Amino acid sequence: MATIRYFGSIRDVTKTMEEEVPGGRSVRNLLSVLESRYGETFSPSEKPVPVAGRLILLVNGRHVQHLDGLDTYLSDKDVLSVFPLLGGG
Amino acid sequence: MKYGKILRVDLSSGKTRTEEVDEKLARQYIGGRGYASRILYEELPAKTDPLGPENILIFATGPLTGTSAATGGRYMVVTKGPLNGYIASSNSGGIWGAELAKAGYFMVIFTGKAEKPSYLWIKDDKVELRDAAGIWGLDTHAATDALLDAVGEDSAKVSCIGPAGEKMSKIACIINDKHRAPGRTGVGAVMGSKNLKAVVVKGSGRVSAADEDAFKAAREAALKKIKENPVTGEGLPAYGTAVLVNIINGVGSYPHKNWQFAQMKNAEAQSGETLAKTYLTSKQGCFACPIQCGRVTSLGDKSGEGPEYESIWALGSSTGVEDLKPITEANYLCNELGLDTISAGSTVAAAMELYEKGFIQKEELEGGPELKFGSAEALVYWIEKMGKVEGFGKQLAEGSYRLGETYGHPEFSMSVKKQEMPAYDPRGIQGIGLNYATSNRGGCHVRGYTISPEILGLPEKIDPWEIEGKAQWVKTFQDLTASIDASGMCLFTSFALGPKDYANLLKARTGFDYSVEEILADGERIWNLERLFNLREGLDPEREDTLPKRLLEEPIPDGPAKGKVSRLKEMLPEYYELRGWDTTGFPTKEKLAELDLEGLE
Repeated sequence: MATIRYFGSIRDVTKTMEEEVPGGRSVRNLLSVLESRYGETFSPSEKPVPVAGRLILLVNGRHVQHLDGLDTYLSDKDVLSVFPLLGGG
Repeated sequence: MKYGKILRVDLSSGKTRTEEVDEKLARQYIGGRGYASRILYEELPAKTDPLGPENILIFATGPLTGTSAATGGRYMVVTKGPLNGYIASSNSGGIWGAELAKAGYFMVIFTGKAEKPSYLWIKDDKVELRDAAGIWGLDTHAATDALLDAVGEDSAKVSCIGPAGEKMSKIACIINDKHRAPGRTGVGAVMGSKNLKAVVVKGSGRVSAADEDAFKAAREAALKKIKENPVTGEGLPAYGTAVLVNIINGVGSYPHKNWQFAQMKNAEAQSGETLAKTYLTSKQGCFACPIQCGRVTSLGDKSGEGPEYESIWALGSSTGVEDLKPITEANYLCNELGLDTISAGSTVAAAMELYEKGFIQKEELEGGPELKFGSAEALVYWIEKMGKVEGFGKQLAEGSYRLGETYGHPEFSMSVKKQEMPAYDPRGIQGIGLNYATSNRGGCHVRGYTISPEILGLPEKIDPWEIEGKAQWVKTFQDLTASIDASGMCLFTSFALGPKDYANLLKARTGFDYSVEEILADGERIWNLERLFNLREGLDPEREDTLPKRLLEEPIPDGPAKGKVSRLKEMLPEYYELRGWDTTGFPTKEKLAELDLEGLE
């Protein structure tokens, strides 16, 4: 199983911090599943707002943009971390 | 009147006078950090003792301070710093800066040393240097209350030092409005060295704009962007800066146990999300701020503001302490005693490594708790001793570099130019390392916050592990930040605003025809002037534009960035070239001429 961890305001939507899902799928595929479960926050569509303009997605601590984007493959034991856009300092 | 007056206070004689702002310099340096640095450069002889009476201490607003521009309440403290002997330059929010602007002053310049502990009371055009007997020795909160009583104005604003500043701890901060701080570079010690406990101000004027209609339009356009931006409109208001804990830990660049590791197992315990569920009671904004990232917290018997992200990291992850309660308690102590939280926490962490490796002996602790990583008891106890500059706390109050040096091991000080670095490991985030190494005030993130593009994806996502293009990002961020600091607005607005927004606001406020190009050029001028100041004080770029050996040679041992070291040496030559500096890090004559800085080399 792959693990999904949610952070910040994403937890208000999911009402959970962490859950497990079967691996063997792309991040895009998983986002579609999460969209049907939790709503448009997780939409893999680039319109009207690109995914990168809404979410920060890390697979095993690496931003998906530096992997294969939404096509990044999630195996069992991988961890997907989902953050809203955030800042601080 | 385009700008407020410059108030000069000779603490030795007690005499005060005002003068007009030089508008050519004001345009070129914008104000705040810029104009004050220019004055410091011109008026402070090289090699002056930073804690001697000859040092000059400047409290400076920007042209947008005290206006209704969103976050327009910032001020800067600029002086020669005692931590490293280079330019000290610290920014703060709260309300104090806006109050000074409303009292009619662009800046206050202190010279000399008061004969006895004193404070300055400014009520519009009435200025009085007063005896601080009975107030000297109080912590920043008690002193603030006592000073408001003494001046008989509940709504006056106080910027003061605590015991750490009075006793000239080199990591002492200044605290205004009880919870906000010009925090870094030891500016509190300079105040202490001058016997200056506080500056209390009450202003009843209004800061007007050269073109009120244009200002209103620029202000509203900027405010709309800030409110609609997901970071400044949602993320920061909801969770404050501590929302960063989980993501920086997640990417494996959250330094742990004095940077021996880059990830901690249970960062969730000290995250912004956990803070919101436990000790957070409300949020707090500074003057004219729609973002409201400030956290009002309570531990039951005690309440205060914070901890912020950096403080959580320094007092928590860096010392190995997980639980938010002792971190929050230590944070309150830093605010009350007047210590820079980043340097204070990092110094405890360095002391823990020195202790665990056998360099600090148990007997030296005079019965205090052992300095072991993860000890909440040690954290709170030693922060208090450090802030009071008592016992072994005297050595801690000197900062981690001098502490390490005392034991023959300065390499355990995770600092740049003797100032402790903040909460991002440059082995896993290459650009921020170049920024730390070149920051004019020593290890610092808010001189060029490349975390925005490297981790957060703002304004675009770039790879934190790569070095290509980082020199340009660092330079651009450093220059723009210098202008924002000089303007009187908060750096956090840059998550939502661009140079054009700042130019529009400054143009309407001052009447000068600021453009995007000019804003960036002014920032570059400020950066180069600060560099010239440091070079005149003896900065050796080859030896000092660098990072601790650990980051250059010891690969990250764990987490997603495992195996990485900083590739600073590959980025630095390109950075010098982009800056128009020679290969040894000195600005060229051509660059200085371009920036109207001829004759200052």
